[in-house]
Amino acid sequence: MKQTDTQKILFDRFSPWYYEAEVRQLEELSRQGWQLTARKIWKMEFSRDTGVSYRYAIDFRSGHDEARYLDIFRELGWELVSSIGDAGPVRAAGGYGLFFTPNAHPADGRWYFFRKRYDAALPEEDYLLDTDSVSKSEQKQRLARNYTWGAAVFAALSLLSLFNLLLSVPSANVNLALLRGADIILTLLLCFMTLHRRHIILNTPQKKKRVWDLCVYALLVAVFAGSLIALLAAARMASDGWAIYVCLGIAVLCAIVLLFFLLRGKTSRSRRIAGSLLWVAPIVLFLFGYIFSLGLEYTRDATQSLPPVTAENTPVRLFLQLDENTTIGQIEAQKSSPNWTFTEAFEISNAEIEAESGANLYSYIITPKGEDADGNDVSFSYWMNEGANGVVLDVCFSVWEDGRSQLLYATLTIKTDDGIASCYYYPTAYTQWGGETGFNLELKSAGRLFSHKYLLDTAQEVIDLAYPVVYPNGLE
Amino acid sequence: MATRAEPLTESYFYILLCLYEGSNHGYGIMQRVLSLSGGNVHIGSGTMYGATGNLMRKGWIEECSPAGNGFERRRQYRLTEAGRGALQEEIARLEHLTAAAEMIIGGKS
Repeated sequence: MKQTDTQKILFDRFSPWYYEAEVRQLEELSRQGWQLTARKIWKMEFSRDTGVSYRYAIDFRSGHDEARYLDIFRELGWELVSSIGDAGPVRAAGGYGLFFTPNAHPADGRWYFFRKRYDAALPEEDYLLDTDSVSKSEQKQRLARNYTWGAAVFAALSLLSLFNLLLSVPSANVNLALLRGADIILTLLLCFMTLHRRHIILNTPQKKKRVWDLCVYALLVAVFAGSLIALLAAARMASDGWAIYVCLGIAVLCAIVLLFFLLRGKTSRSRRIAGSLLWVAPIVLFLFGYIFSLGLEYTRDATQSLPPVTAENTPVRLFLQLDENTTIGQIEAQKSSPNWTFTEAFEISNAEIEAESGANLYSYIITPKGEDADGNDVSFSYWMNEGANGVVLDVCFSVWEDGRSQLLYATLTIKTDDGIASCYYYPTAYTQWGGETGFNLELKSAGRLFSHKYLLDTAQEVIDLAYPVVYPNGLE
Repeated sequence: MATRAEPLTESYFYILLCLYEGSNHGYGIMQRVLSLSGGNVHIGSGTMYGATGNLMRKGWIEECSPAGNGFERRRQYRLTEAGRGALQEEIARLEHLTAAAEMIIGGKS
């Protein structure tokens, strides 16, 4: 607060949902001799005049005939002190003032601050704006509409995040999964808070709770920062770096255009464009991130981005030739040091193998795995291939540690209904899965809206290109 | 079957009634309504703007060229033919209500 003998400035953000509480505050200050001269988004300005007392009214309108509106208020004795443009649903959704725009087009909504000199001889009804049930009801609807839309927007964003999370690869990088989870929680929270503000604005008496408001601010900053980081991270991972510059470029361009219209826009058309950009730009950017990472998947040069195969990052592969009557009952994977055992139990009959491999295409099954003794995720995959000498079951597993695929030596045993099956164990020479490959591909999937089946198809193409399979003798 | 018109609120009714006498501006309407209602019906600015806007959308009143100069050049409103009909319908409805009440309470059956 700044104060001299004749002037006073109160730094107090305008919170629409407390508009009735603000009227009471202004009237109390007026009785103390401080008369409102201007209401800005972040502050109130007063001048000293103890010889008069005012009654105040704050009114919200959108899509109105402003000239006729102000004429009627003036005729009925109200003096316009200030007005604040309002960007509509986006502002209401957050309800946090960042999107108040001094030049907003009236169609986007505007808050008006009126005052009328207080005369004790006049009836109290002279200081009311809405005096019948219809206009009171219309005012409530106007106020509530934006908040209802805002809550719907947050609910939709929350569903989008949930949808995205469900369709991500189960073994996606854990940090991004957490980010998606946090997105869902935060957007749901914002949805409830918007509804809460709708409740406040529709119910009297309103009571200001500034601490709560500050918490909402912090939350909003976290949401927008988190979304931006996730978008940029996804763009960077999807494109080996360069998409991030495109995304950033679009963001900066949107910001410049927005600022230009906000600061320079004088005509109703330009102000309208600015108001629309406020909520259109983030959505376009958001969608662009998804679409962009989708298209880039095919363009990467696998031979350059995949790491060389070494003894350290080589996964275990096992080739098993099945005879007609074999049914696999269980596969166990064991590593000698540190000791851990992972057991994946499943059954495949010969009939299933024939059905799966009839088109001479491999099929694959990726199942989310458990943890080893050190708490690392264990990933396990297998697929079938029709070789020259029959069906080959191809098995691969890896351990995920610190978000990276650490491929380790292990001993694999396949138990069939005939006992221990004969198998070929080639830890180094016949590798398809490179550690870095698995890492990169799965991260990409975390930012997109399609199923992991599609992703794995693409992954397989990339891997086949980089590391051609060389089967052991007798299995080709 | 013809759709029955919604009853008018007191404010809407008095605004139409007031304009039945001739065109008037916002302040004049407010003062006249206060007088006609014996000081019982105040029309606030928000109500006045909303009501005149709604009545214009319905085509019951319309803006007309203001008379006078300078500050006196206030926006004037006048009743249309449709508005006159709506007012008479409402009056008939109210008369019917009053007659029904008289019949029961006043014992005129």
